Amino acid sequence: MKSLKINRTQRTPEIDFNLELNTFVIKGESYPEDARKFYKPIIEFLEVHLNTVQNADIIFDFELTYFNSSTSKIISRLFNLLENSKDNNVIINWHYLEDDDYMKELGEELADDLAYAVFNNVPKIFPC
Amino acid sequence: MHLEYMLALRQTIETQKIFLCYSGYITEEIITCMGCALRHKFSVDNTDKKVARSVFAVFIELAQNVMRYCTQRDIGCQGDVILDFRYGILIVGKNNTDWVISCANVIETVDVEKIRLSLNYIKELDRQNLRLLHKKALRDEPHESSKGAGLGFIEIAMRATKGIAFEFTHIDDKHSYFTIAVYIG
Repeated sequence: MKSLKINRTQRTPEIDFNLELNTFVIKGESYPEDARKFYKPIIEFLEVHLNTVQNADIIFDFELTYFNSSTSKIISRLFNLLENSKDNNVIINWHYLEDDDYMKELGEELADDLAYAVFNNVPKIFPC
Repeated sequence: MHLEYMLALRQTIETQKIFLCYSGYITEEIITCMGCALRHKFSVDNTDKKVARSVFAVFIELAQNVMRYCTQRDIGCQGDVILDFRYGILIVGKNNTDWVISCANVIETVDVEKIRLSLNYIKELDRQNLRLLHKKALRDEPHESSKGAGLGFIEIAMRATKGIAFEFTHIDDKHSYFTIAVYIG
């Protein structure tokens, strides 16, 4: 499998994981009632890939404008996975609307535990 | 409902400045539709973007709480699909310039004290300690047993710039009524 692409819906974000380029994007809004069910195959897909590659430049873009608390748990899990992929060079780009302090703080909170993965704040003026 | 009660309800809706009110089974589709109505209202009123985002987030969190924990439910099936509908009341209104998102549903009496303690604790925390608790909950809390005041309530408290009020009303040994109002301004 070379990529994972899922179109966005009203409650779930667009997923665009490209294994050839090692670029990973989660974009939109995420508030499914059962976030674990939606993200389970996505996390497994990422997990397998991270265990397969070595010395790869992994770029993960979080471009979410809103997510619910059960998605927060999932994002924390994804940060964990990325941080623990120590055989690779991981960059996490955290996109948020410029005036959204809540989202900015949440990114910083998640980034607190990162020692290996590089974290970048990416403020945006217009909705992604 | 008899007409005279309809008028009384209408009066309550007007005096409480309620613009969105739902009582019945809460499903993902209903939550999404109400969310759309909320956003429509924000754009019509030209609501401050930060306030609008918080009102929307709190609304979704409260509604999904009902879907998860409410004990007043109807379970049935349609073909192979199990239907599990939980009953609740969701209201969004204004209190002068503040937004009020309120929710009422039946919970298990056995959970009352646990939720009361957590909510009282969360309510008193300042921003910094709320952040610390959030960080801890993100990492520690097992997803399955998040019944009670877990991550969802912490995120609600982080958005509730004008506070939270809540109340438990005993129905019987098994069931209690839980009402919560979240203020954002």
